[in-house]
Amino acid sequence: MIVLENITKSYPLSHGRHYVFRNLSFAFPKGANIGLIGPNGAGKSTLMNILGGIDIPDSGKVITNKSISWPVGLSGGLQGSLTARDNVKFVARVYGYVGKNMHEKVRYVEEFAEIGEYFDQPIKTFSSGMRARVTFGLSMAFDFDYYLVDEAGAVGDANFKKKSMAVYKEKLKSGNVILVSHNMAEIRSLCDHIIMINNGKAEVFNDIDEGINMYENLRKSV
Amino acid sequence: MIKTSNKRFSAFDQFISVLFALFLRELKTRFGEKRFGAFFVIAEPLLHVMFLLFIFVFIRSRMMPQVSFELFLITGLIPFFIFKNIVMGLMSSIDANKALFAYRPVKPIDTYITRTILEVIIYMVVFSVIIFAFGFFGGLDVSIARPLEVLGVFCLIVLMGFSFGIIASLLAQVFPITKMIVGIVMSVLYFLSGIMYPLWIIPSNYLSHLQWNPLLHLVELFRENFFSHYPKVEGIDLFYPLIITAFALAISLYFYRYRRLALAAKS
Repeated sequence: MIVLENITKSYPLSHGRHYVFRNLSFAFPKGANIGLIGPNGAGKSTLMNILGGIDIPDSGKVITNKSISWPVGLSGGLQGSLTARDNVKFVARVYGYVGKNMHEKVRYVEEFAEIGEYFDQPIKTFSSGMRARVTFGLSMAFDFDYYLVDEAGAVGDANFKKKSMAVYKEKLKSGNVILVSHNMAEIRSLCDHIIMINNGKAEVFNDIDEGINMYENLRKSV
Repeated sequence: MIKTSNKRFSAFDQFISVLFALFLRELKTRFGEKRFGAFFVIAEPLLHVMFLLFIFVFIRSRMMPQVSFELFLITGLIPFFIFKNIVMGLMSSIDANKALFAYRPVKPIDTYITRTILEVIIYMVVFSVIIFAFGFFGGLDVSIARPLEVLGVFCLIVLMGFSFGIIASLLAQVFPITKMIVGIVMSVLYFLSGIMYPLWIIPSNYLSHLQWNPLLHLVELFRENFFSHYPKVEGIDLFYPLIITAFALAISLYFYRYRRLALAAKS
């Protein structure tokens, strides 16, 4: 269960404040994969950050009894001067995996990332693609009830994209995804329901096609 | 309520494992990838202290009948440095660790505690090394007169640094200029806490003003209990810094509780 209650979120601008949401309340459909769609600047990423706990609303709250991941592919959480291995160890320890369990997580990420001996080099020497492989593998190494994903297939070469889609499908057997994407094919292949964010409102569509149609109409009408 | 993905995991276990992970991370980051990183973490404060000792003891040699000046200086410098480094370290810890709060189990207070523990360990090692060197090579009497009292005062200094550090960190998030002000206050405190001069040379009408500074009391108490015959100065007591610390700790934790989510937030 994820319920948003009276969420208000604003950002200060050079003159006045910009309100992304005012008293937004809605419930996420239970145990389902959600696609978040909406025009640029509608507040999809803001909503994701609030769900992930890395941003807080001005008022209102998120009520949940599920574990929610950090935004998948978050690269800010890695320390540039440490090696990929040390960074993965850190996250594993934080989530309570020590000793053998920790090494299991490290091995998973190492095998998933396929960056060879670079795994033992400082992150700051990585290319953005290599970094993405590590951050993505890191997110997939842990089990959450909900994974927050911003643009599932945005990074990596074709090979890596195929691989990540396969892992998503695997992870979705036990968990759910909340996916922000402009790629409707991606939404169709991963999601069960659609939530459209527009003008500070959220509209829940239980039928994917209905949601996508609404969104396409909205885009044409602008 | 945030569940962890690992089900058999109490809140306390969670707390300990986050502290442990942060601690290792701070160590590795500070030691850096350089081969002598570990050496420099200890050597940097050591050299600082040695340099000051050199200036005061050899260049302008001073006479102090009751205690050796080397030990007098070191028993002032170490408490001051630990206080200063804890406050400064805590003040910058939110910015330094901001990205880590994306991992839900990591709370801002975990980074405060980790940095405090790290500073305590570093300065305990530095203190032990210097005291050992003085005793072994310098032939000074380095035995601590009342070790338990010294430890107690030391803990109070750490706790006071912890409380003021959190307050500074909370203020710095709202008013960035706090960092500059605290930096200046620290360099003033350096001269006002009786680190480099004995209190009994201060005229009594100025002394009563100096005694508003709680750190001065703690530094003086540290020395009184370290040396067996240290001249006691009128007006130095434990009660005043104790009250200040208790008050600061209460305020810091109250406002931390109030601001904890905003501290962890991205913007």
